[in-house]
Amino acid sequence: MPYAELDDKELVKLAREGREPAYRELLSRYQRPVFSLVYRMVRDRATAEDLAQETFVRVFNSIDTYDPAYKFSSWIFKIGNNLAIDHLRKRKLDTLSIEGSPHATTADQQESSRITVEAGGENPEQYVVHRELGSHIERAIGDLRPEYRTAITLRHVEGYSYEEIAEVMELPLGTVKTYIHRARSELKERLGHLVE
Amino acid sequence: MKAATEHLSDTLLQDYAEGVVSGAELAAVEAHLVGCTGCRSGVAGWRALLANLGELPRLAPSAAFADQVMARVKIRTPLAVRVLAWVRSLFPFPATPRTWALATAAAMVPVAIVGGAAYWVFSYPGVTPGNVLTFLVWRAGDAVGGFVAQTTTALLESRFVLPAYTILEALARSPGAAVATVSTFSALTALALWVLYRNVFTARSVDGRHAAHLFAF
Repeated sequence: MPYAELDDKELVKLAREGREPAYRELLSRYQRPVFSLVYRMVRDRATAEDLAQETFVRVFNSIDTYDPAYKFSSWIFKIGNNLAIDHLRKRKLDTLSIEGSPHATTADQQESSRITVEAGGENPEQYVVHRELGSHIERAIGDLRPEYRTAITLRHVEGYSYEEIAEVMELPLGTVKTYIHRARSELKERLGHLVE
Repeated sequence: MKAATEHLSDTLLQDYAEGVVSGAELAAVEAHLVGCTGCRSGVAGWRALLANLGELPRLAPSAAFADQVMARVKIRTPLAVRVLAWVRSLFPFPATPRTWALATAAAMVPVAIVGGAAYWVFSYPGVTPGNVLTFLVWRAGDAVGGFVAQTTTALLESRFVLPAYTILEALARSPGAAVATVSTFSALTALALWVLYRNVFTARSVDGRHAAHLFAF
């Protein structure tokens, strides 16, 4: 069966019938989006892996409770975001670095905790320039309030509409718009000299 | 809309740069921008930021991520699906029209043999379905009766009967000992079932699977 051609709701139906390839296809579709969201929230690779794993385990082990009236992606983002928020409430972490964990004390730890990005078809020079600018942007996003981080990531990395973000964050539409406007204003203030 | 001398709000400039302004508001913003260098510069700044945000990458978890997740997922197969899979595993289901034709032909052989035998038996005068049924019931009753008699004899002649009878007699004379024995036996049975359940359904092997899959249909 060509699982890659099925939409999320069809995959959920097959997963409920106990088909492991359906679970694997959902994982393949959402592991990067969910990990990206959670990583940008908690700013630590190992913690982000744990929380992203927990997100999938919770979603898959309660797949029978999924309501097809909602988007599957919204459901999984909601659970991932809630887990990240809960984690942040318990523990505050410091600076984000796409170059590796801020807790790394050796070069090996730094290398092993580095983040891999999706290949964008850039040449090496473009990649170096983008990576430097990207690091500044990631750091600036990391300094935002957690709820701003979620909103900005969903809007600009996942391309979610304001309404979908409101659904994931369980907030009124107006609040989400305010969050995004304020977050972008803070980013522009910090990055204006770099991006213009 | 603001007068040409008054700048547009940052929120409106963001929305315009993002392309989410429409209708009369869009026309008014565009009219304002024609005569306002400051707001045009503001829009350019927002567009640059939005373009950079749009290039933020999706980050990849470790290569083992998917397997680690799947090792913790409990995949529950519905009973109907498991029964169907079990039936399918018992019989090699035909997959092509040719194998279906062969399977049908193979299924027809015993039907033809039984049908031919029935025709041959009932072609004799005096042999009716009622007579045959009576004969079969009589033979089956004979077989069951013989089995029961043999089993009873074997039990009575068994060397375990006398000790068992002695134990039961002793227990009957002492109700306390009887209750203690039954309670101990029940507790041990419950413990054994619990250990079996833990091993089969909750303990995981190194590949992360429950032993229960060995018993799945």
